[in-house]
Amino acid sequence: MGNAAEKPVIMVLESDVLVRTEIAEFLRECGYKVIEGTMANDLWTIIDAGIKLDVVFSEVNLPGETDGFAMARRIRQTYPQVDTILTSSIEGAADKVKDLCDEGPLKKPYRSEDVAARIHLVLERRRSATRKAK
Amino acid sequence: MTRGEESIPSGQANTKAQVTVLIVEDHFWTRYMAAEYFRGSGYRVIEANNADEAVSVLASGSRVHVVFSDIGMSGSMNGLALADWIAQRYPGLPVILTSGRRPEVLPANCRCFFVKPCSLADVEHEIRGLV
Repeated sequence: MGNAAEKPVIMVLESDVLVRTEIAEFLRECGYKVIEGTMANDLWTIIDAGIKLDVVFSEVNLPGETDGFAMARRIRQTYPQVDTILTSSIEGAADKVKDLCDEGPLKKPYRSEDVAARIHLVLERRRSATRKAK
Repeated sequence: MTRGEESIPSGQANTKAQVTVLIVEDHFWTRYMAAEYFRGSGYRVIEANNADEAVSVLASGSRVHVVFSDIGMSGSMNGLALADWIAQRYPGLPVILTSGRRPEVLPANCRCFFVKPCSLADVEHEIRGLV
């Protein structure tokens, strides 16, 4: 991947430190810049600070007032330049998430490689849409 | 006190990329800024949102060379209690503490204390001297 300034930026939202650290480190090894957070408020802080963000990879069940579903809805409505990928261990989450992200949530426990592949897919889709628009 | 034996099982880390800093801070932006700064300086950084998360990280067997922790945090332990816990289980692991006010007594394994808001360049300088 190109220089540091061009690295896609992924925000990982996960309240379990060991799960968060593992996926964040894996994605850094894949060449992404990774911001770690534990709740939706952390994401709004990053967005409000004007920090560039490409993909949010978030657990559905987040601590705080906003869960992953509500957060994904707000991202889609307000920050359409940001893609969201949700993950959950809860059965039935796929139905609830259908209108929020195209492929449905990644079922936990996930393989880090599958997360990276999903991120690659949404980034490629975004690039291709941008090319077509030009 | 000698240092390094437990936290660096395979000997002294000789490049910054091999040095892992565990940041323990419950204020997101403060943690983010510190993590960005240390990663940008070449360190591997693990981020813990409070002392309980730091305990989970250390107990999982993650290699950590220095702990940089806030003192006032939510959760079952503050930074001073975390430093005591570390002193018992990882006596060679150095701890750097930070807080808005300097406590009257600092734990013996606390190598350095910074009053918040602290200069990350100064903290990094301190880390470099420890590892």
